Amino acid sequence: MNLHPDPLLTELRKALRKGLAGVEARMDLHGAPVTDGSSGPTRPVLDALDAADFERPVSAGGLGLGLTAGVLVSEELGRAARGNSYRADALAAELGRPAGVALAGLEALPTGDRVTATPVAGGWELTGTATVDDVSAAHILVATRTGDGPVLVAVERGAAGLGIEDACWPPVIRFDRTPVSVGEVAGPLDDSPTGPLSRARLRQAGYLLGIAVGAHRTAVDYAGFRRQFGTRLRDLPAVSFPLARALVAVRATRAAVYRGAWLVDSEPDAVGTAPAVALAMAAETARDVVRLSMQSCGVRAMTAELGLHRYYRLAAAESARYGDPAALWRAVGADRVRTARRNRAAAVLPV
Amino acid sequence: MRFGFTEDQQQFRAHVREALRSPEVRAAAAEATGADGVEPDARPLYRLLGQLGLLAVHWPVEFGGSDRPPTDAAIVAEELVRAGVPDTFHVNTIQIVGQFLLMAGSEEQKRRYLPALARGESFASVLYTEPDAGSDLGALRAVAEPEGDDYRITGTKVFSLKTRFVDLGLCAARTTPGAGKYQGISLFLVDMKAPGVTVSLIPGIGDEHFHRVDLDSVPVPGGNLIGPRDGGWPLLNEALAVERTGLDYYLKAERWFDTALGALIDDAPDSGHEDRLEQIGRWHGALTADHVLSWEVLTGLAAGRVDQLSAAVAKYHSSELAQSVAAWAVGIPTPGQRADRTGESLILDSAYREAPGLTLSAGTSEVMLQIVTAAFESVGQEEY
Repeated sequence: MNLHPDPLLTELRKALRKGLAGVEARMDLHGAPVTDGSSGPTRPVLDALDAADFERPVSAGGLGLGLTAGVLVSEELGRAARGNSYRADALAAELGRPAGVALAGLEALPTGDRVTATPVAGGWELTGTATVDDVSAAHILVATRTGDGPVLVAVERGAAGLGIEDACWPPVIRFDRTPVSVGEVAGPLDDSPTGPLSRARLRQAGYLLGIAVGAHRTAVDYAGFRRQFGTRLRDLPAVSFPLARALVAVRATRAAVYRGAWLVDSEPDAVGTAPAVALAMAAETARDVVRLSMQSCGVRAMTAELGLHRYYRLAAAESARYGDPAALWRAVGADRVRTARRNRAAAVLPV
Repeated sequence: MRFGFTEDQQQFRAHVREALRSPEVRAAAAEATGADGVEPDARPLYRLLGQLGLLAVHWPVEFGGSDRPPTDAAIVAEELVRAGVPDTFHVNTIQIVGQFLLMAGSEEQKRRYLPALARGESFASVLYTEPDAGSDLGALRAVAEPEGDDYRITGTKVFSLKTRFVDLGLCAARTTPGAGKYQGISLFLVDMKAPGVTVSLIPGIGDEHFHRVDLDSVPVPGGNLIGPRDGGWPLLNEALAVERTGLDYYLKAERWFDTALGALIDDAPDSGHEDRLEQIGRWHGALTADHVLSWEVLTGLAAGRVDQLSAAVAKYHSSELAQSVAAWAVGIPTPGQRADRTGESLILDSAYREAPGLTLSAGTSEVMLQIVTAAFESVGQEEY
């Protein structure tokens, strides 16, 4: 192992951080805390860095920086508590689809169970209600299940029976016998270790890691100057020790997330459940660290003063956007038991 | 960044694994494993490992090693535990005292002591803690009084492991009392057979017991002073950071987790164990991350970087994880497995009794959190 950060990625992180600092944050206490989607306000920052080329292989005209770079972009978006203008297009690019799409229905586990695809002549009819990340996209990639298993299908925003509710956040998309043809299947969404779903899970894990990091940094800074009982909050063990434990959790989560991305990039045969581990851990770390950060900053955290409310709202929406962490852990556990059973059987077999 | 091992490292691991799977080593490891509060003498096993050249592969050849990279020593440590080798002798003798000598000892001291440690013919223990100086090591009272070029050490050291079996003690003592809490402390290698050394047992709940070492005007040659006189405190802190890779705790956690899975599967081979899957998944994930945290410290040390924050994070995470795994795993063996005294049930019972010490040794969890907290002052934005 060599766990010293790659200098190129360090520079990339700095550039992203600088660019994202110039994107105005939505400080409203109610309504959407961020603007998601490929045309969102963070998009110019990513475009200025040619972020769309980061993951694309050199053979396809990209920079060949691998999924690791995509995870890093996602982490910085989360750290800045800005909308995610990266994930949908990155997934679309892997499926050979054009940019500018929204994603819907990825919160269901087993994958694709939120929206039902009923076979009809030439395709299916979609019915169901799911979370969507961008209300303005012309096309939506929807997770559903056909006879071939979980897939993403592309649906036009104006398709029959399709309705979008954006009075709530995150917004919701409804399908009522919405027709899709066989040709609109964008690609499979199975648990293949290096497939589109695994890669998307790792990007989302990066985004969640960033949400935890940003909230923690805010809380540590605030506790460094806010004084009570004649001392800084950070000098009170009752405040500082939970923040220290949170930093340990953040570092452990970072280890799991970037290990997963590295395996996808460099040792695809060894990926296994690493994407599910990374996503489940990052989701829970984001929830826990953000909640703790709110507590550390007192009532001000519930106002617009510190901006922590955006992390708090984001943590709730984003930690479940790609599935319930408990369900992911069960899947990881099942795989681990299968492995142990195989190893056990191999150990007792006569040589 | 690279989260995997190189081909050379994989080949080396395979070589080590093969050596440790020999019937001779397996039998010696079984003999050296304690249970029910009985602590066998593990020295015969370590002599065997010394003959195989496995104890200190990263030390220079002239000092009994094989000149391999420091990261290969970590690979050996991993394989030792996975082969069921009780690791306390390795941790104390090689990873702590031997490493400290390598770092701070003179050429003469290295030549005199390291080869025998590497061969498994000599063993060492750490004599830091005193009855009133635990985490607050600066409160230590043992005194080393000069006697010509030599010293006489008087004091009491407690809670060390394996001490009744060892030949050398790395002892912290005050050479200039009254110089200040953290000043005037020096480090010595003490011959545990010297006159004035009395080692007695402090029985504990684990299978490895604690010791009390009374030092009554123990003669120590001046040549056994390690590092500069009165300059022990900075050395101690550096040594503690080097010691806190978390790898030994990770390996315990991994072994206990695998053992618990083995007990589950033995009891119900065809069951999906649905009621436990979520927790099993969480342990697997936490272990995966923990391994990376340890190797982050290890690869930093191999490159000459001593990062107090990373070491504190790794030590805290790994010891807390191992303790939590032990508390969960002890409930896995069925009454039948416990009654039959299966290997798994004995290991997990022993683990549970050992576990409270993990978050105390090499710096308590509270001390680790204090180090992390202190780092809030210096950690820049880029560290996040």
